[in-house]
Amino acid sequence: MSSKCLQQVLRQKAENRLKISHTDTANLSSKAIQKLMHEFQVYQVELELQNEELRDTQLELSASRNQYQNLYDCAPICFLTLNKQGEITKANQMACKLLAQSNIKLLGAKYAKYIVLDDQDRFYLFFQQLLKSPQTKPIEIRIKLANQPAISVLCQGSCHHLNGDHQESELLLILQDISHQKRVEQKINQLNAQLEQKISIKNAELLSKNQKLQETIKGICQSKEDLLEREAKLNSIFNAAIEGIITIDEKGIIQSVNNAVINITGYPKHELIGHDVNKLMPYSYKEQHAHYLQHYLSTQQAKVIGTIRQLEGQHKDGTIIPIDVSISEYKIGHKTYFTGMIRDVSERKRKELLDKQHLDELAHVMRLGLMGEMASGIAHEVNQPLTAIATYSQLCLQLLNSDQPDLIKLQETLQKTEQQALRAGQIIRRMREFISTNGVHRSSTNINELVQEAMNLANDDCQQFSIQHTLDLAKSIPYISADAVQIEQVVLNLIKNGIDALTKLPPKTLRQLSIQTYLLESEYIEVRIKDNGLGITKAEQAKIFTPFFTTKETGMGMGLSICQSLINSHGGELRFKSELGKGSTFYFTLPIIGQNNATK
Amino acid sequence: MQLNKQTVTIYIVDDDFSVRDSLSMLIEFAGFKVESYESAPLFLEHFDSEQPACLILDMRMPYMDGLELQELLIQKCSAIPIIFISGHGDVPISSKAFRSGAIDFLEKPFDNALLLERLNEAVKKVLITWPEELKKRRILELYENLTQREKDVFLLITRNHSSKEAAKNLNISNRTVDIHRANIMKKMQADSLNTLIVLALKSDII
Repeated sequence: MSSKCLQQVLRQKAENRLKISHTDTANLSSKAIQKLMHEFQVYQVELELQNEELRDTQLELSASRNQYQNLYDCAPICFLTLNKQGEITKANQMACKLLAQSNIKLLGAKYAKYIVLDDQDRFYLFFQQLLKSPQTKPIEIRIKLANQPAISVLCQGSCHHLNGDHQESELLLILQDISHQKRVEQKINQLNAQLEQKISIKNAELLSKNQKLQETIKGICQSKEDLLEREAKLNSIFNAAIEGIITIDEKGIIQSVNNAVINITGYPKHELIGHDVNKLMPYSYKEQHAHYLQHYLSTQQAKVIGTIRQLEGQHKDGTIIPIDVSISEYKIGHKTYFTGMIRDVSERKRKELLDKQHLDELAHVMRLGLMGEMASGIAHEVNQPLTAIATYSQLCLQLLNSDQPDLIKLQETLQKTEQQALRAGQIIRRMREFISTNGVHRSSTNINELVQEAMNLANDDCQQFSIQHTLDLAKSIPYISADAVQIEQVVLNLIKNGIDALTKLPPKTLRQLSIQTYLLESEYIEVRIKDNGLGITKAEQAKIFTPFFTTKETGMGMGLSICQSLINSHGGELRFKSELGKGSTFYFTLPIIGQNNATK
Repeated sequence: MQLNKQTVTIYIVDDDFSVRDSLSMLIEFAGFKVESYESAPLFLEHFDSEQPACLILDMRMPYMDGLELQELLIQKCSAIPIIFISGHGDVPISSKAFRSGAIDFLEKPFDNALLLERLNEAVKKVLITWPEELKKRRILELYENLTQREKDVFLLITRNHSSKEAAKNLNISNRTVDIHRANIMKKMQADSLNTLIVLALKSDII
């Protein structure tokens, strides 16, 4: 509508209103008319001014409106205006773009149809609430699009009541595409979830590592306990061992000893630890040991390591202890240590000695017993034919006593009797032959050789009991006629008696045994066996040659009586001298060949 | 079976032939049946314990000596009288032989008249005791046929224990004892408890 036309419409309206008013202009005076005219003119100017002002305002408004329209259309936010029925009445370009519809299609359409079905109820509630109160929290809804995934939008709204009337309301919705934000959020969530997953995996790993660690710790604790237990066990073994265990360093200084060492050596612990191990050795070994140690450390060639050696140790009281030693070596860092296992074998040695003594005695007894055995054997053998002879004879007698003697049987029996008598004679003859070949066998013999041999047999015993023995043998002594075995036995017996006497002396006393041979009055040789033992009491002296008399705990008491009979049978004499506290001398004579061959 | 001198076998066991031979001849001449063996195992192989017999036994022999044989025979419940002969008058051995019931112990060489005298004594003893010995053996055979439980019951009731006591003793019921008892009577061929006790006494079971 043009402004001229608008003016005419306004003029018409004004004139119509004027007609209604009852002002009678005809009756007015010209003055009043003039005055009125003037009033009208002023009024007209006022109106024109007002009009102008209005026009300016309209221009201003239209400019503002345009500006607003621009802002509305170009804003990067979606604006939708809905009426009370929820129909779109206005939409800006952004909204069209968002909903992917042209403006025309949008207008009049129900907004709700663009909303995802699930969100429609929520939107309805939001819508109703918005109508009641303008302050309603924005909601998130999803917009559905053709051929495209739904997008999330943040929906804010405000309500305007048109004409101040609640009947005519208009809703302005501001939609903000938050799908990107959503996607980012989703992504973040996803990343978060991944992160959490990773963290939980890591966590689990850490837990399992922790558990393993704890198990390891537990294991270590257990090992430690085991170690302690083992150490305790080893310690108890170490201390309970019968064998002495000594550890020394490379200088020979004792590092540790067990209880057995203390028992064997007699030294208390504090006198051993830190001291040189040669303290436990007899003088002769001391230097050797240092030498061995040096030698081993420089050459690594050991004589002892890995083998068992029989050595001697020295007790605190000075006695020599026979010991078996085995040595092993170990290294801690650069230091070498040696562990020696020491077994006190004095008991074993003593036992060996006892066994040997026992054997010696046995041999002796066997020699003695042989004769008795032989006699017994002869008796048994001869008894058989004698029994037969007696029985046959009895039969003969009975045959003769019968009414009609069976002479043939009698003859037969008598022949058998004769045979048995001959058999008995044969047995006796055989025995005699046996004795003459295997029994006494005399030949010209050098007494010095016999003494030497007997001494050799007793040598071990002398060493064992630390007995000094001297042989003083006459040079170019005449030969004797003797059974070498028997005379050697006599010499050996006398030597052993001497040794027995000497062993009864207290320890650390000088023990001497001397044997002499010499020519006596050019017809006999004499052998003297002298000891510095305790001597023989008068009472014992009287019975010393009596069979079965003995002063020894283990002995038959046959030795001296047999010796005496053997010497006598060789035509010699066995005698003795003894003084209490000074010792005894046994001496026997034997005739020289060609001087006196008599055998009693 | 009519028993007389000839029905008693005289066994001679000695490892020396001449002793065996002379003794066999002498004893046979005296009217006995003689069997001689050079060792104890050989004797055991031929020894008939069902016939009355006497034994002249050497002490020292290879394989098995006289004492060992004596012990073996005692274990076998043989009551054969034994006269020992030995080349050694060994006191401990002879006393052991006597303790185990030897008739005599003669040291070689011995007086043969004495031997024959002892032998006659031994034979007489055998002739008297043999019938009883046989009976005793029969009883023992019957006894050995009893089960172990029956033997237990047998020993209790023949020692004057009532069935009740026996049951209590063996920790079994009275009825079971009664059943055992009936079986024992049957197996031992006894008609009353008294007979059973007599059998037990005769055979030295109790």
